[in-house]
Amino acid sequence: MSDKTSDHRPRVAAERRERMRQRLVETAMLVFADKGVGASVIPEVVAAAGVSQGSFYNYFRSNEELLAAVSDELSGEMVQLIEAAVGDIEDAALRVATGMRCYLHFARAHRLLARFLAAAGLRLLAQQSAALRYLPADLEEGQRRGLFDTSPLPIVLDLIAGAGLVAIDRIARGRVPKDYPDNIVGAILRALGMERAAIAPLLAAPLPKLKPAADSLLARAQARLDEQAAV
Amino acid sequence: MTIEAPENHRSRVAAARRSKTRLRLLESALLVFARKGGQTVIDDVIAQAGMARGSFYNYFRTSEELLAALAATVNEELLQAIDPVVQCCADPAERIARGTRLLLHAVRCFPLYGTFLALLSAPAGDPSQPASRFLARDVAQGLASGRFGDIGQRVGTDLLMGAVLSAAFAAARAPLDASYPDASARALLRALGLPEGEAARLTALPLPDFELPPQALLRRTGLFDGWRAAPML
Repeated sequence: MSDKTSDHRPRVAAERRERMRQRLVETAMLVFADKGVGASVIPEVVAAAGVSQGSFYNYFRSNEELLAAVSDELSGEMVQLIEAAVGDIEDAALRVATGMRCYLHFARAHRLLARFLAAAGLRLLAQQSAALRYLPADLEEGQRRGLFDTSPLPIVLDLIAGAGLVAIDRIARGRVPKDYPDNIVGAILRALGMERAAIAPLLAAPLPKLKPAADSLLARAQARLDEQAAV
Repeated sequence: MTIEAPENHRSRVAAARRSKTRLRLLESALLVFARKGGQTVIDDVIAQAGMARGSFYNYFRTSEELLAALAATVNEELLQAIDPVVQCCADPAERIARGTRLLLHAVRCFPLYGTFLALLSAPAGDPSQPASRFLARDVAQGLASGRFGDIGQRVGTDLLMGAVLSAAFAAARAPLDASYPDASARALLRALGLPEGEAARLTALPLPDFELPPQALLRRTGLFDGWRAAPML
């Protein structure tokens, strides 16, 4: 009996700790999306999560650490969603095109995500491109097969990451036309050296529907936002 | 002969002194920043400027505000210097090629630029970004001339802006290859709808120099020595 208690207590404590950590990450995503990612927002995160300043620092040592936690979790979720949708596509050009379309259309459908990514801006450019983790290999394959021209890969990747960042910022700021994501992707494919005639069918291909899991950070933060709006 | 009312004279002198002090703070901040990067604190800046802490706060409330002012000033200096040599091309596509290449070369030679941009909150699609103002104008002229396909104003501007921002950020992390600016501009021209041959020709044309005015911070601090110089790290 006493054994059981000693097993039970650390587990409960670990669970409670994990729940609190999740709550801080969810809250931080909302505050960052709303107010930007500067260190001055920690008091707001603390207040919104209903914890003391002291216990906040038990979970995160700095604003940067908190920001990294939010963005790592989000980009992990996005990689998984997009990779599940496009990983099996045989043709490298179609895979690249569909992956980028998924990313931008998904951001357009989830304004909270777009607002967070835009607020993080250049600071997170490296992590944001992690959402397109498979892109370098796909681009290389496309170049090898002669689908894309042979511009140096770092330049092409910067170009795509930059276009993505500015596009996300646009999306976060307000309504963009429905065809905006595809137009951005079309321009990127031309930059990659593809001809118009080859691009059109890629953009007309069916777009897989991405749905975040109910227990994902994005879904939880969105639920929290809806709750706040309902009050 | 008109004689200025003494109070006008006094306020004019005060305003001039104020802007001179502000400039001195920006100059000191730029020098310290070049040395210490993101670790720069207000104490370093006032020590460099030989000013009291109290007077600093008459000009900037926070170090973030100082940094934003510094980034905006440097940004504006570069763009104002580049623009005249861009404007003298008759062909809008050549203007874009030249403007983008010069901006990217500047970014390559002055990596601090990217560090500033990265420290600013959400500079990406900010319509007040001066670079976006110039690039948008050039895209509009290219579209009007029928030189670009159906890319549209918004997508065209966003693509150019994104390429410059992300190059700046990349340059702040590791030196960019000398071939980067032209290769990137060539891909951008294709994105705008120019055929590959045209894009290749326009990005291989000789590039002119541009000159910063003597009062420019970048010149006073000696931190930017023209786009042909090796990157200052």
